[in-house]
Amino acid sequence: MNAIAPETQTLNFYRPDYFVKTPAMRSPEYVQLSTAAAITLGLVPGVMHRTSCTHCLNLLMTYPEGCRANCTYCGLARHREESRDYADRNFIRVDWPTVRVEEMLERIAAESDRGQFQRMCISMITHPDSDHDTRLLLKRWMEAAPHIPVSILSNPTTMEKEDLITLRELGADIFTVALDAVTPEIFERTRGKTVQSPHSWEKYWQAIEWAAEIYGPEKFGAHLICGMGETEQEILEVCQKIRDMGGHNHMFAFFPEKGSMMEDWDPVPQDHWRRVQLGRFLIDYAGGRVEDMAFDSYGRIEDFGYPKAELDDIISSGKPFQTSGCPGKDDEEISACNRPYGDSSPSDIRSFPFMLNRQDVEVVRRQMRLLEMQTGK
Amino acid sequence: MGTVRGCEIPEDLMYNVDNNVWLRREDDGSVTIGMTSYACALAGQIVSYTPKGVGKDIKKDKSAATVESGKWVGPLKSPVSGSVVATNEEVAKEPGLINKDPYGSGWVARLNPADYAADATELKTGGDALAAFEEKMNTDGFGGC
Repeated sequence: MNAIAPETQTLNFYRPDYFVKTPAMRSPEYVQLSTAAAITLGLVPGVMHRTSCTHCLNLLMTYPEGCRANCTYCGLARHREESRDYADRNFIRVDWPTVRVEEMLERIAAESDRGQFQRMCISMITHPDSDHDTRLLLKRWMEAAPHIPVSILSNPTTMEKEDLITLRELGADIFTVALDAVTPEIFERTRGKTVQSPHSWEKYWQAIEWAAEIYGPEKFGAHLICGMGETEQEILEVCQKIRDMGGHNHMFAFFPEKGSMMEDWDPVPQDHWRRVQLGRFLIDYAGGRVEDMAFDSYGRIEDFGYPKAELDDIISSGKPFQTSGCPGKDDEEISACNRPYGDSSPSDIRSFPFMLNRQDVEVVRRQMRLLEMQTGK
Repeated sequence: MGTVRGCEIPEDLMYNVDNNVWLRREDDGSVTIGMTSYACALAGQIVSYTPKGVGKDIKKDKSAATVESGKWVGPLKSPVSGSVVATNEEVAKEPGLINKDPYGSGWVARLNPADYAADATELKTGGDALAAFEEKMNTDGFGGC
């Protein structure tokens, strides 16, 4: 498929290519979609390690001016505008091709996804037109493909309570907030004025509270990134807070995004990550409570405060270590949004985009024991 | 240069079509192997290259190197048995060379074959290779490079 079409023709699809002039494409006529979604829709050829598709069509609003925020861990950040056009920037490890919305809807109508998509998600960005265009895209989707439920990954900075209500009325099923950083200090130094970014901790929590009120239990959530300097205790306390409000936690392992200001950081260590994954699952789906967990002086989990046999069964199921996010139609504990290799390489998987087999579970168990092996406890 | 569904498939090379690898016999009797342009299109931009070391014996259809892209990791299966005589240091520095020049500077390994005459009988070349790739792409539902 050609990367760029002659200007007289309608451009249906653009695959990031640093060696051609990036076409001027903007929402609501165009959206970007994840590489996994593009593969699933047959827009680009590709194979993925141990999985053939994604079950969530992840869309990203797109404007040549790009996202106006400057989050330090994000590949879409404003500081990159000198080096790379917005539609060519990598985000959660991969390129995001751009597609004309009507072309995408035609492919959905033709079942190019072979029935794989169980959910669609619109990711808003920080841009003056993003709120308005998200409403238009949602409305168009509900006309064309109402059988596939829609999640909104919001940008609270530009939103008011009325906006959440409007999106609900237009058909949004789940509303999520990309809090990402789990302490006020980390939020400020990764997304706040410190790094010339417009977001505030207070506004994000206000949006979560609005979402709890408007969308109700099980229909809202927060994205959290593990490994940006917080302790295991701190991130699980936030998980508990979200759960107590009625929501769910969509957890990502920190991965140093190429081109971001945090590209030289290390990924979150596997033992740390596995413990947090398990703690999150216990809180979200198994009645676990952070108050029952024991932590050492570094905030590391020493005891999950959960019956040993049952904990062992939960680990053996592998579910806690799969990608977490909005549910599909089969199992509410398993996310439709499996984001293949969005937070790690396929050779050292952090979030499994498929069901773990017995060998995978054994690997996870070894990774969870890494700390005790290193310290000799 | 042969082309199948937009993928370049040089007709003078030998191929194991199932494993999507090419082979070239060198004047000194060694063989150079690599990924086809079709394999590169499926994998996406290669970001990591881990070859088996020089001197290592490799059985036919076993891994001569592990290559990784953003969403895929897998072996490059050697089309012949043999021992590794060279790995590609340029690709080690810049794995994306495999995508840029899969049949040239993006070669993956060079081997001294153990029994080239026997192993080569299973490989395809020329028009036979193009037809076999067309059939494979059809089976795989591949739209094109």
